[in-house]
Amino acid sequence: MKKTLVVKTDNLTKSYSSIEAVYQCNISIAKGSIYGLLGENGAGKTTIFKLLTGLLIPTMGKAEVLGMDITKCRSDILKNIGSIIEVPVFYEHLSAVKNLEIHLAYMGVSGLEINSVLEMVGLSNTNNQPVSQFSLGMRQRLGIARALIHKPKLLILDEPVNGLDPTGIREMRKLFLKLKQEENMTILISSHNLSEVEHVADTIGIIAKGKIIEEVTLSEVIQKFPNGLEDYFFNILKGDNKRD
Amino acid sequence: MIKLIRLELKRNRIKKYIVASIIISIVMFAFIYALAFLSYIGVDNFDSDLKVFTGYDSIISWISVLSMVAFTTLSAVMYTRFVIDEYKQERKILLLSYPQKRNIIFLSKLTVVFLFTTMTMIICNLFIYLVFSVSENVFHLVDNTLPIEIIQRAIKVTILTSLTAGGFGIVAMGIGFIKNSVPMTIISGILIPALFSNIVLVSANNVVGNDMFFIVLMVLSLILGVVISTRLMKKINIMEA
Repeated sequence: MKKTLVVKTDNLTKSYSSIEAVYQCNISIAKGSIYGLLGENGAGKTTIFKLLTGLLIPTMGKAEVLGMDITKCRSDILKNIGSIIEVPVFYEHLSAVKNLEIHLAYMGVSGLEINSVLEMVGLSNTNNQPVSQFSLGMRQRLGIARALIHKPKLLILDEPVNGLDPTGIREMRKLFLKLKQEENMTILISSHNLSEVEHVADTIGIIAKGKIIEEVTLSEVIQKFPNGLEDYFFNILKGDNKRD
Repeated sequence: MIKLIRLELKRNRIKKYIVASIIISIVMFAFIYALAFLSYIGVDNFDSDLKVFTGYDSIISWISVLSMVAFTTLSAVMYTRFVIDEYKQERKILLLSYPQKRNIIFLSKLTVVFLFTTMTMIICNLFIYLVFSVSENVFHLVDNTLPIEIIQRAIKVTILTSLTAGGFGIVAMGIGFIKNSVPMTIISGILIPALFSNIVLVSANNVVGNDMFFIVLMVLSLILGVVISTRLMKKINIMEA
């Protein structure tokens, strides 16, 4: 049976003067899957996320999110996307609840349960505490809450567990799996924590020097590399360096 | 648009700008009575240059112009928070991720600051003139009579200079936006109205009661404000984060 694709890029390229941050990138993300995008620093992960959320305009190629062209249907796509890209920023003097209320108003959504989402990410007892007093981990949790509160069809999370303690990482892992299973949400995630990706992702994309060099299912990876994702990742990167 | 304006008010602290407006008004109170006192003690006791500060017409021109410089500066300070900071690299990812038309979000920011600047300046200046005219009727500092024409002129010049402050605020923001600099926005907010005010004051004092200069300045500032806003809206529509 043919899977419905939530993200599909076709030779997507983004250049800055002579530097190609992303080059002829082809990604396919199936509906309801968790796609782990792995790569070294500066490989182009964040650039791909920004291209998919309309924050950057492609130099060449095409990208479709939820069947819509990112350059033509930006607003319609953004309504259905939740994202954390780079370090999440907030209205510092306002509480978590107020921040989420404002976010929902901008997203054009109402009637959703803010408190239940805050409870989901472990921020239910922050009351009127302004975000400026939040720790790094709390800010990251709030970023995740903001990304998913408007019930998006696609979650794009750039290093979502940065700054979280082991308990927090575990809680977020459970949350991502729950969102996939119960809400049929599609999640695109990047992380330097390979074991973290291994725990949640069902598809892996490896990016190096702006280009997707491998796109496989996690079960295929485990078949070839029983020791896990780490061996696979370094093996692929080693191969890519040899090709250079 | 109304919804976006409400959201701007909700997520920014307006109270501190209201406090700033009250402080400006107190300073203007001090100025208006200082100028009135010069008229009271008589310029013959001083250098003849001080004549430009005496009489109701001069007081209105001076207070309006000083107030315009102060409120344009306040407007520039507000724009640094509402616009310059919001479109800086680390924050613009959030702003540009909303499924709203980018130029409408920008326009709502301009509307909030422009309306706040012009409305508070009109309210503050008219309140100052009201208190001053009441006190003049009780105790004459400048002249024995306060003609109705003077009151009408005070209202007219207040409206003209308030709109000018709103326009120049946008010009200052435009310069700060292009340079991506908070200090540049605030310095422009002080220097631009100060420069034009000198020209207007010299001209207005040479032809006392002639408000054509205030009208020209208002039209100029509003045209510049519209041109700059339009250009920035185009820039924001294709902005990358």
